[in-house]
Amino acid sequence: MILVIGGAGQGKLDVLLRNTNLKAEDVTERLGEDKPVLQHLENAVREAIAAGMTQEQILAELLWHEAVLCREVGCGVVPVDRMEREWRETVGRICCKIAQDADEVVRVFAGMPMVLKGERKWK
Amino acid sequence: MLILVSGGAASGKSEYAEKLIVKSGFARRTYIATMQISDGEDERRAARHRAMRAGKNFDTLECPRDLSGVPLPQGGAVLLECMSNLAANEFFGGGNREGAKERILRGMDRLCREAELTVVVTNELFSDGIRYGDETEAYLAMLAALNRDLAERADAVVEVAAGIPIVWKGKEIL
Repeated sequence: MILVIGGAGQGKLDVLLRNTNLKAEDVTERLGEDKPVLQHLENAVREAIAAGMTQEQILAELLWHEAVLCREVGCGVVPVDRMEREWRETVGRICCKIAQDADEVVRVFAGMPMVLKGERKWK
Repeated sequence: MLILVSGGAASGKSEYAEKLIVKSGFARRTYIATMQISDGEDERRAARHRAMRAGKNFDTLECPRDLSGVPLPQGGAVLLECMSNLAANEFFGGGNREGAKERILRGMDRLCREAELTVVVTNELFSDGIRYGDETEAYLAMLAALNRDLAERADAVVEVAAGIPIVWKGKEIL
């Protein structure tokens, strides 16, 4: 599994497609859809929480993907709204768990990959 | 020695900071807890951290403010968690706001003199792009300045993302 993280609009998907054989048609944004790549995990987590899923249940739906892309959402002031806090917390914890299992973890900044885990040279 | 650990919410920074303390081999381990518990959510957060520390032989000191006055043991390793709470308590806690940053830095200087290893967990609160009210903006500016000052003093600075350390400074000592 490959985990790609980074801020909004940094080019996470471009970097993934550039460095793997994965194609745009392999990508979904919906949890549970049978595609190799899940992008916008942060949005899927929001919907999953609203549907009553726990962190463990969400993780179980994720770990079979070849790649997961997630926006980093934890770098702000603690939200006043409880649901927003829970969402942010869950997204962060899930990314930590995926990263533990993942073969490769890449953080993208301005279209450039920084390899956090794995041996491959990313361009 | 001072090591600064930062990262966003739920990035794995606490776990990493604890590992640094355990890895250091110091038998005397002090945990300085800065969060003021105000509701069940805070209590669950504190309980989660306590569970993570269980078995790692930390003595816990509560220090929501006045870091200079906390009764420190001499020597050993200290983990302070976290700077954003301490800064908020000093800033919003009714004392003199203008002096909040200096009070914290004085406390940090004393901590670094007394402990052989100090690990400080701080927080990356600066990238949500939201314009807050003046009070919150002033707090954010103070915390950011504290982070910069601490990073300058620190022997090592590490950002944690998805549980993985990104070393900004001091790779050779980690």
